[in-house]
Amino acid sequence: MLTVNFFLAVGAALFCIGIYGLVTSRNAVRVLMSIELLLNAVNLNFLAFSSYVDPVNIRGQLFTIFIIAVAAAEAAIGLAIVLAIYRNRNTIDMENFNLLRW
Amino acid sequence: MELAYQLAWLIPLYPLLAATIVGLGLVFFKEGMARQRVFAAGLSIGLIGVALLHSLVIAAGAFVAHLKPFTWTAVWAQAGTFTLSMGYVVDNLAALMLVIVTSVAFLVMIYSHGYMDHDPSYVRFFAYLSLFSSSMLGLVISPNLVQVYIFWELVGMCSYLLIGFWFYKKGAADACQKAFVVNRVGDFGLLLGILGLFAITQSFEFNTIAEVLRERLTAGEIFGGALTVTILSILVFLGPMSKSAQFPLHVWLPDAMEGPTPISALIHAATMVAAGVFLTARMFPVFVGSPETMGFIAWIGGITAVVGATIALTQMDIKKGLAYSTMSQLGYMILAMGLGAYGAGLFHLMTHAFFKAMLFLGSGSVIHSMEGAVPAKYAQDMRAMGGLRKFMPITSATFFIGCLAISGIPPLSGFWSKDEILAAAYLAGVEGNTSAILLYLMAAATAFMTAFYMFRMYFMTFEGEFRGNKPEVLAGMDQADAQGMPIFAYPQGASFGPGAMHTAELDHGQDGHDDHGHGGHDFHEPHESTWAMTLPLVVLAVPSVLIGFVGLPWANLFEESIHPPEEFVAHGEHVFELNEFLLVAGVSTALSVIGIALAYYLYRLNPGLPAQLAAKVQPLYQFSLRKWYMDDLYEVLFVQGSRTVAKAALTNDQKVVDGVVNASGFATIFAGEGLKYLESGRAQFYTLIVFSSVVVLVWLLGLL
Amino acid sequence: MPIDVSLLNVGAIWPEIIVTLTILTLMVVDLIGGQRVAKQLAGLALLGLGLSAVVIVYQLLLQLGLIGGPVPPTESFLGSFTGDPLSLVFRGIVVLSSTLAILMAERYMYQSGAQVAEFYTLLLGATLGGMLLSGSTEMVMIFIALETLSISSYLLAGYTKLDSRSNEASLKYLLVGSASAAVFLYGMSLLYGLSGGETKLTAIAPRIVDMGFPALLALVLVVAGISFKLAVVPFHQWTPDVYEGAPTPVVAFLSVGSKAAGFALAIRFMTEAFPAYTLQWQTLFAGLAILSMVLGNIVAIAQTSLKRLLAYSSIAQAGYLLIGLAIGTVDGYASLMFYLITYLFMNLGAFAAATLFTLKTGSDDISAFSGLWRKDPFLAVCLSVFLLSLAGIPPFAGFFGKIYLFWAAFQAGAYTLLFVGLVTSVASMYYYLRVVKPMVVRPMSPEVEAYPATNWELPGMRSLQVALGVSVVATVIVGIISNPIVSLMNESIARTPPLQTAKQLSQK
Repeated sequence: MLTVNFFLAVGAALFCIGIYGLVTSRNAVRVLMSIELLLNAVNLNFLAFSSYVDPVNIRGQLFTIFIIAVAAAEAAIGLAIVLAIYRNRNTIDMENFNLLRW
Repeated sequence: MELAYQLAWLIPLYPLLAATIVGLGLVFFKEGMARQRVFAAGLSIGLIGVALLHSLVIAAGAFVAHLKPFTWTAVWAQAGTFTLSMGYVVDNLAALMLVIVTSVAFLVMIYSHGYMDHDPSYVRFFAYLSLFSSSMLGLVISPNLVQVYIFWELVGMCSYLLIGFWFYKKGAADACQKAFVVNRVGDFGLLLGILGLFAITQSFEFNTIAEVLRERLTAGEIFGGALTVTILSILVFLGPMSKSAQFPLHVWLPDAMEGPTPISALIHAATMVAAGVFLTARMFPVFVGSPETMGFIAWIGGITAVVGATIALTQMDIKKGLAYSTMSQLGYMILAMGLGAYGAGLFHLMTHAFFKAMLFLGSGSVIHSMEGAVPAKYAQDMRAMGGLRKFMPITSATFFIGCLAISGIPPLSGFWSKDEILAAAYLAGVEGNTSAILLYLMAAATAFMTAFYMFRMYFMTFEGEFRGNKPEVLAGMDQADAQGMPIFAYPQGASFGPGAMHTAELDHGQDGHDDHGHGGHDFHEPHESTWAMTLPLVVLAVPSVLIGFVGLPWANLFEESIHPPEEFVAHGEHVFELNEFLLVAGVSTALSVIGIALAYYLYRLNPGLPAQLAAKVQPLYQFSLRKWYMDDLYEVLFVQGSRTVAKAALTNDQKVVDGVVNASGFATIFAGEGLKYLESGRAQFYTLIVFSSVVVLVWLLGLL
Repeated sequence: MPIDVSLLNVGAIWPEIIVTLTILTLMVVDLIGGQRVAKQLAGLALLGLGLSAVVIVYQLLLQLGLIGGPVPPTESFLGSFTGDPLSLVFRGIVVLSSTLAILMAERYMYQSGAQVAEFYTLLLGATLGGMLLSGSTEMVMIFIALETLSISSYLLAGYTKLDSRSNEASLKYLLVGSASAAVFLYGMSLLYGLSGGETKLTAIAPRIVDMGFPALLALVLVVAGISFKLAVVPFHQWTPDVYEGAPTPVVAFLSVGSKAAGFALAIRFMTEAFPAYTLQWQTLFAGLAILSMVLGNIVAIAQTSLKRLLAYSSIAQAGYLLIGLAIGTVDGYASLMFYLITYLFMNLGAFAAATLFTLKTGSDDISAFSGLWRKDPFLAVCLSVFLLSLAGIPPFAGFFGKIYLFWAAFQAGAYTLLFVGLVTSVASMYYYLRVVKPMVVRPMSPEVEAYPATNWELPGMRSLQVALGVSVVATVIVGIISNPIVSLMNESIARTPPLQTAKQLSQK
């Protein structure tokens, strides 16, 4: 029998992978993709809970739709910023983005 | 009139408005504003004039129409049970102070127009004067101790600004620093006292404090009982002691004479120093509760009166002489307070404000004209003056009136107020208070000395023959100063016996004018000052003569109006007795007359004699001249003492205390320097920190 | 299921509706008018914000019973949003900070040559997000409002897109912000599951009592997400970089408006969803407050740029504000709100002064301010007032704000917080005075030597002058009239239902 815990475990694992990707990637686009991973982990959580504990109102599924929409907006803006940086600096390597520090 | 009462909060705002406009103008349009002399002076004088009129209406309400005191307060800050209210109170005491402060300030401002005419900082001066008047007026209508303290510090601040007005003069800079340090001592005591009283009574209101204190004292709820109350009230009294230049915190007042003379008149004679007496009056209900405190206050006042008078005997600087005289007179007022003669103290405060302001402004007028006649360093020295009556008739006449008033010659104002204080001391003595007899004797001796030194001053300055144009006199002064015996027998040609100032002599003086060789600078004769300076003198002469009549011992209108809050009327309600009055008044008048006669004998008839006398009683002379060695004592005790202690502390604790202090400072800065590198500038590192913080927080909270 | 529209209680979001309409109008006017109307856009935006502020004040007065009988707050949108006095106060603060930010942005935009219409649109978008966030009571709504605020802010931070520092600030803000949002969402997903499918905060509360560790996990994740918005240690690291790189008017809004919305969220989330874990979240925030006060103040000492210094100062100020939240009494919340109001003026004022100085010299180095007093006394006086107020020196507003906060902490028995607050605010005087003193006593720096005379007639300068003037006047007088404001705050809290528990707690 598949319990909700399995879904949660997958969600947590996905979240951790997202964190790993976010922290270690040098390519800015990959960093943005890792953020999508984080949000998808959350989506999975919501969907699982929605099916198991809230099958009538399915508020979780509703929440997920909002998250997907917002994630799209965030990705769009993230890519726009990366594009702007690329125009100015000719690089999207995260290691180079430390003009502002200390 | 009720309306005037309710609008009393406007009074401090009038001069504040002037100060703000002129001050902001100076900040934003430096050069432009500095040229707007007429505007600045007109605005300041006009607004203080409005304040004066408003005060007069209030005074009419208080003393003629006998309106009830008006208090308005609003909660200003509240947190739990702790409430701090702000507002204003208009009672008879406040009304009296309002009139004194605004009238003296008004006249001083007019005077300043003449006195500061040549000063490039003319406009700044008016801004300061307005600011000072505003703070002082705010002080007198404060309904509670916190507000008093705020204005107290403001008044102090203005005073430093004004003492150090000519901040490029070393003397002025030092003096304002000294005033600052000495006043800190008193203010710190005051603050401690206020907080201590609040801790016991949970109140900052004058009357509430006294009532609650009394209740809790009788109920035995105060830790340490009466002793605590005494200590706290003496701490509070430290504030008035420093501000009103009471022994031993008086050392700043004479040095404060480095400021421009109008300031000396306004602050250090008529109003600011009166703030101490005023606060003593406001706190009177509290002080009365502790007999020890009252004794302490009386003795401080008595000692101050004597010390001030003895030092004034030998001063050669006209302003310093007046400064010590002020100190001595303040001693009288505090003495009266200590004896419970509330009305008498305030009466003397009022009369003194008028005649002392006049005397100071007179001295300023003299200095102003001397500055054109002798090198600047002699301008305040009485040895270089003499015979000025011929040149400046108005100044000399008003100064003469002032001298009579302060010496207590009937029927001038000073006589009535001083007599009341002496009578209070005498009565307390008769009633069996032995220390009061001693205090009476001290006060009487002071009266004698006062008459002597004031007329010494008058004779040296205005009578005889002008000495400032005689090179041998100036040279002799330099020599005498070098020997540490400033007093000296003037060279023969300059001796001034009877008839010395005939026209022939004056001509001689004018001839000598060309001879003296002070750097070829062309000095001209002393001259009478402009109308802006003489007018205030003349105006002030009127109250100096007449104001005493409101406090006649047998029809004391003044004390009827000015008395401590009802329940504390303990003294001063005695029935008038002619015999007693004649005795006290007779003795004091006789002493004054003898003092004047002595001054006449020594400084008019036998001008060589004082120097001989001084030489004979050298130690006594030096004792007075060196101000009881107080400055030297302080130098040794506090300045050098603290230096020694500091040095010892430095050598011993360099490693410990310094180490700790520096280490913590350095540690902070290094920590700052070190921690800022955590800010590596790499966004991914930041996210890592976010995630790891979450983990750490979860772990920590799991432990909880 | 048909929905009765009157039950939605749409009137509660009138202020937001006005701002939304303003955004639409701005876009349309810009589309039609183009460059010709560029100068009028700021006025239009200000008009919208002004109207919105009027409605907010009206609703607040209505609810407090100051005009007409007190109207009890009702839920709107079926429990997603509430227009209670607490939200109204915070929405007012957000609108006010946005107004001041627009006033100082006008000249900045003119001089930097960027497009103006989009800037105001985005700034109003961020304002809208902040306002909605202050009143949201349901998790989806909270998320949407939060993202509206955040996404607009990311764009604003990178608004000067030709400046690579601004780009970088924007990217960093986006990365850290999204990561925090993900953490926040993860926490909310757990809450959703643990409560058995509830998304309304008040509905969650009774279902997670005695849940133990899972609920605490959710609590920490939520707190972490909110702390990002509040910029408290250790979730603060984006702050200095973004503040340094982003356009100054934007930073001014972020440091106050965005932070105020964050505090509204924190108060509402904690009191409505976690009343059963009061001890835990109070401890958590107390710890964060101490860390922020200590670290913010210490690192500020080592800064050389005024904007970075103000960034660390704002971290430290957030620590002081957290005191009010961590003690969780009525006095605590009231003093938090009062301090936020004083902070609004002094911090925005400081940024306005920094904007003016940067516009004229192109530098914001602390050393560049030396001798400013001699060239521009007005600016020097204003900046000194703001910094001294931030340092908590009487008689300025910041002093009274701190007094109220510390007094509330003292009464709540939070002596550790009080002690740390006192010690660090004394230490903070060092770095504030390090800016003030050279302005007055030091000789002029090369930047100040070359300082041009201020021409207030240039386009946009009047607005900057108004922003400075309003801030300086408010900084001076808000402290003096603190009592009515604080009693207004107290009254607002008394009429806000979720905080009734706090009230009862404090009465015990």
